[in-house]
Amino acid sequence: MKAFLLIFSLLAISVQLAGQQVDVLPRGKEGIYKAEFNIRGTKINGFLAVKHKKNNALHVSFISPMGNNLLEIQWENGKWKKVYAIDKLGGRHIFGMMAEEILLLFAHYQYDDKFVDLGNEWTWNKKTLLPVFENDNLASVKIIGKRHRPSKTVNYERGEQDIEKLSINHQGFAFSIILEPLMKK
Amino acid sequence: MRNATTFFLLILFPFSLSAQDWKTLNADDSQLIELNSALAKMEAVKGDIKQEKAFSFLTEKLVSEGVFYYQKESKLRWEFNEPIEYIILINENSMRLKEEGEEKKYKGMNQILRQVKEIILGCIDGSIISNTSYKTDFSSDKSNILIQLQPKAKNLKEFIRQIDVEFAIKGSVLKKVTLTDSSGDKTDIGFSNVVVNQKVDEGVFTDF
Repeated sequence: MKAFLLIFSLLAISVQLAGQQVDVLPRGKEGIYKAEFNIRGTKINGFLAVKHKKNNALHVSFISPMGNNLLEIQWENGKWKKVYAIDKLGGRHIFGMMAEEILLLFAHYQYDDKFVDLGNEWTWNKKTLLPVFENDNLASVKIIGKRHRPSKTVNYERGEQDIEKLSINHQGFAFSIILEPLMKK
Repeated sequence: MRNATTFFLLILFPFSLSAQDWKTLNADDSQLIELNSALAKMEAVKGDIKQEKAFSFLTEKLVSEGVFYYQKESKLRWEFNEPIEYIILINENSMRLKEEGEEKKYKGMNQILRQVKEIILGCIDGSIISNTSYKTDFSSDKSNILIQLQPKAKNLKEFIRQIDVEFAIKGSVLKKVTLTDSSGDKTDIGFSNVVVNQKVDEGVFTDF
């Protein structure tokens, strides 16, 4: 029984390495972020609403400043489900790219079966993730794909208590996302 | 028994008070004719806007605040300053957009901006009431007129499921617009400090 409880607790908690905190949006919490998407020189502003559900599903909605839903998706058990998308964001390539970027930004890959914690580096979805911690908080993660694919980096800028900005930048490709929380619960 | 009856009424009473008693209006109802007449005489309007977007999966709403200016015909400045700067300038057939200090021109959102122009402008000047692209229902209670519009065209239905426009009967002042999008999420736009027919500087519609 004790062994079962130990195993269960190890599975239930998010990744923590010797007290280091990896959760960007803890389980059960929600946040609304000012969002800026830079795609090949075109900047799109809006808001990103995110909820980390208790079953580790991630529900995300990207809306325009006028309140129009542009993209609504939910990640659960390793799969993305497209709830809604306007034509420009619903295509397989763009949708797939944005979905992966969101998992990387919120470090939600840690809840995926394909995630492996190797200590100083992690692997996920055939990629190598190199985390950097500052004061036991995740500060950045460099993502390295296949040899010929450029890498990307997720950065977390922290204030006194919480993350004030999270961003992902691609090396060698003009694509980035910057999120700044408006409120967090 | 008496206490139980009183308790029962107290439980029921708040519900009956809070529910608005809307009665259906025909398109030729005198209240609507009066509203249309007032809107036709409106040369300019300005006021404050507060937009609240509710998400089906969140407990908190996204609140945006700003101002709007309208001048006949088809001139509109729709400006949010919180939580981000977002300005739409409509001047007859031209439409410009500025986000966070930068003027934007992007093709992908043209349909959204056209929708903004048609719906928001149409709600302010009342032209949406007679817009044949929508199925329209009218109702009123003692203080307000409610116009409910459902788009007919498939491409518009992808964006909007329903638009509710509420005018105060007294003064024919626009009070609220509720946009229900195709996913069921609602955006409420409340109007306050509305001033009608006060001269507006032309630069408001041309300069960011």
